[in-house]
Amino acid sequence: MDLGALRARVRDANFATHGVPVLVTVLDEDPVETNGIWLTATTEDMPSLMEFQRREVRRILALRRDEVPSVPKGTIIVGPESAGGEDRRWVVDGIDRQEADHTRVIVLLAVE
Amino acid sequence: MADARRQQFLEMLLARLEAITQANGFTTDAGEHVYLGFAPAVGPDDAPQAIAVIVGDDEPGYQGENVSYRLPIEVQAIAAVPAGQQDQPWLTVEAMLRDIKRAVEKPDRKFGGLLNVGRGLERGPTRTLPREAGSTAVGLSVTYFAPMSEAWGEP
Repeated sequence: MDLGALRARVRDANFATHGVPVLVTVLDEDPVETNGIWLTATTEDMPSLMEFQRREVRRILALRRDEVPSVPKGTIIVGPESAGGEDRRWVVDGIDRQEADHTRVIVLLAVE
Repeated sequence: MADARRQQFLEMLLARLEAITQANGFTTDAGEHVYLGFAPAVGPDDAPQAIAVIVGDDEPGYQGENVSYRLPIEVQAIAAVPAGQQDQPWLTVEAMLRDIKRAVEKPDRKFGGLLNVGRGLERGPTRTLPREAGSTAVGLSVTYFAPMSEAWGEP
C-alpha cells in the first residue's frame, strides 16, 4: 500500500473539509488561491514578562507547502476567519512550525 | 485628619500620570487609563494604551525620632502597536517612556514637600519589553523610589 498517496489524500480531504479559501500573496510574486486551516486560536497575556498585560488572541493558519512553498514574514493573506465569513486581510508575523506537507504561520490583522 | 503622607504622594503621582494626554502636550494618551494597585488584563476592546502603578514593599531606613523609608513604585505601561507600525514597535515604547518621565519628574522631585528626604524622588531601572510574534503588545516599566520620613504614629 502506498502510504504516501494515502497521506496526500488525507491532506487533501483535510484542507477541503476544514479549510477556508484564502488568497496568499508573497511580496513580488503572483497571488496563489488555496485553502488554509485555522488552528484553534489561543489566548495569551502579553508582554509575557510583565504583571500588567494585554490579553490577546494568537492566530495560526496552516497552508499547504505544495501550493505555497514559501511564506516569509510580511506575506499578505486575504480570507475569512471562519467558513462563510467576510474576507479580512492578514499579514504573516512569524512561523509557528513547518512540517513536511504544511506550514503553520502566525498572523496578525493587517491594515484593511 | 489629613491623609497619610504616602497616600497624598500616591494621589499626586496618579494625577501626574493621568495628565498624559495629547491635549496636554504629551505624545500619547496613555494617561486616559491609569490603574493604581491593580493590573487588569485588558483586551482587544480596551484602549490601546494604559498605565498601571504597582506599589512595592517599603524599605525602612533610619529610625529615631522619625521613621525614614523608601517606597518603591513601578510604573508599568502597555500598548497595542497599530497595524502598519508593527515592525517598529519601539517608537511606541519610547513615546510612552518619554511621556511618563516628563509627567512624573518634571513638575518637581519633592512632590510639594511630601518626599522630605534627600533630593526627593529617585529613579530606578527602566525595563522595555519587545513585541512578540503574533502579539501587538509592547510594554515598559520605570521603577521609582520615594524617600519619606514620618513621625511615629503620624503617617
